[in-house]
Amino acid sequence: MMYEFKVSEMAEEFGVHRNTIRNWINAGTLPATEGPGRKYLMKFDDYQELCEKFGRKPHIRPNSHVDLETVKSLEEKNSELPVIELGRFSQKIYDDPSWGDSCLTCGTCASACPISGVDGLDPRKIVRMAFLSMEEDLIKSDWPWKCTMCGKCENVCPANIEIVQLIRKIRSRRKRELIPGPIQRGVTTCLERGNNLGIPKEDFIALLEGLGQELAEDGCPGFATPIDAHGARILTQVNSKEPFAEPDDMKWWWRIFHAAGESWTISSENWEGVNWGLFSGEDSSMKTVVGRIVDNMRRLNCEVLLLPESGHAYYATRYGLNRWYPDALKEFKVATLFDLLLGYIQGGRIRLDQTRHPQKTVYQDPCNYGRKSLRTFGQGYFEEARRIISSCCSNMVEMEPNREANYCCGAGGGAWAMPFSAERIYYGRMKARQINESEAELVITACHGCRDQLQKSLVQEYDLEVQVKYIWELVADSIILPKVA
Amino acid sequence: MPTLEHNGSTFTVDEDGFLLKGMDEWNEDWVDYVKGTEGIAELTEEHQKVIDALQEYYKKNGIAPMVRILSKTTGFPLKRIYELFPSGPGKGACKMAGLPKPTGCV
Repeated sequence: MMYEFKVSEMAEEFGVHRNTIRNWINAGTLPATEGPGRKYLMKFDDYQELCEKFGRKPHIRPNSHVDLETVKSLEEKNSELPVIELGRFSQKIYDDPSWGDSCLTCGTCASACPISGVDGLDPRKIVRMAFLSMEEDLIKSDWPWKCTMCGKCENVCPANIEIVQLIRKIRSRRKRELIPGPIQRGVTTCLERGNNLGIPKEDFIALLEGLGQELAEDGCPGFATPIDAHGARILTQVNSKEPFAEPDDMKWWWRIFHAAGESWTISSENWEGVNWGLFSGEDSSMKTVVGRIVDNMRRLNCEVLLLPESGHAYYATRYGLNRWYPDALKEFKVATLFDLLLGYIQGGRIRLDQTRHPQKTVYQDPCNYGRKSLRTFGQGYFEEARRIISSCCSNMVEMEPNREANYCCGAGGGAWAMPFSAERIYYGRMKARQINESEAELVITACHGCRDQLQKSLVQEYDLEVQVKYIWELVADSIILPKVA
Repeated sequence: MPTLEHNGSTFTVDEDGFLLKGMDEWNEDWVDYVKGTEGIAELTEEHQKVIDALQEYYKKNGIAPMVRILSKTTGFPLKRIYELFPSGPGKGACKMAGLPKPTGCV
């Protein structure tokens, strides 16, 4: 054991001048070496010897200061607590040290998580529970389903624990019939019918054609929805909620494609972009849904895959392609909506009117396109969105924090569909505060989940006086279309 | 799963408050119960028309119809449907008609 001291302190302790101590050190009488911060280090034994020489008591005691009697009574008390059985590895929920073994228990994750404390749990406790093999408690708990898998905890973790993967693994272990809300039914409906909501093919085609005719009469003459167009450059998958509940919203993208003169198509089958296997923790269904997209790309011979959709679809699809279909990635390119929109703007394929959105505008970074993509794929989208928005708005501000450190809207991880609305709204208080502080009047996001949570929930719950738009909606609303003759 | 009683009828509901057994347990008392929870002041023939359309499509296809189809069969524009069912066709109207909660991001 080493003893650390300052020359002045030592001099005072032994009643000699500072220079005397220095001389002792230089002469080797006092075997000490120079340490950091103008301090010296010596062996504690040497210090003790010095004390004996001067007939003094060492002013510190290196051994435990704890009174043994006190400890004994505490030990007896603790024996009443249930013993956690370590090493029940047959049910091990994590099989990689980065899922728990290297946790420092510092709690930084818990302080970053907006729902820490809900149900008495937080990310740190979850990691510790996994480490202590408390599988049954974890699987039974609803907390991992209230977690939006936003990755804020991982982002601040000094030990790089893969908390989001751990949460997904915990979700995967729950019996499928006990998964909260409609998540599992959505997965099975998608597997059986090609989309989460089970929309029949003829209904879908009739809807697309009808919407196309409306668009042709509304500023886009000659427009017809390109269904199953072989050899189109881009294949775009769809979030089933749009044809089901918000069909007009699809026209924003179509308007942009029309203005840019893009060659694109939608598949009449397996057109779902949503992939709830990511949320249910089920790899097999996730793989099947991604595989269908690969089939569509091959069948229609397209070059670029676009998921103009909630961030999770892009994340799940890209993750699935990397993991299960690496060969497919040699055949076609996955484009994000950012790549595409920015390409149109910078290539002069669309012209935008900046005067239509003069109000203070802020961007809500979706977790999946930003922080999570950066961590998983080494490529996150932050600046692209800001460049696109700046092309449409003259008064852009920022939320604090933003980009990689931004807060989730509260509806990620399937939370929008799950029955824990009180927790979802509670989670959203962080977002409401950020928006208020930014003083923005218009919030732009690139994710269906963020848009719905903000527009349909947080605006009412927290009395926010803002308008919410998708980034592609903003672009479509800013496009200068050629005058119809 | 929780059960609830209304006007003497007993209903089994899921965690989202939808009828667990669907139309098998559906009756007028359920409609009256959902009317209260959805904040609908008075039930009109228009509400009934939406319920009928939802049930008919569901019996045929096993899913709820897209809003455009609901608009077409009832003759109500989407705006009117939202006026009738403030929480939307996917939530309030499906719940009242005894359909399961739609399984997408709605």
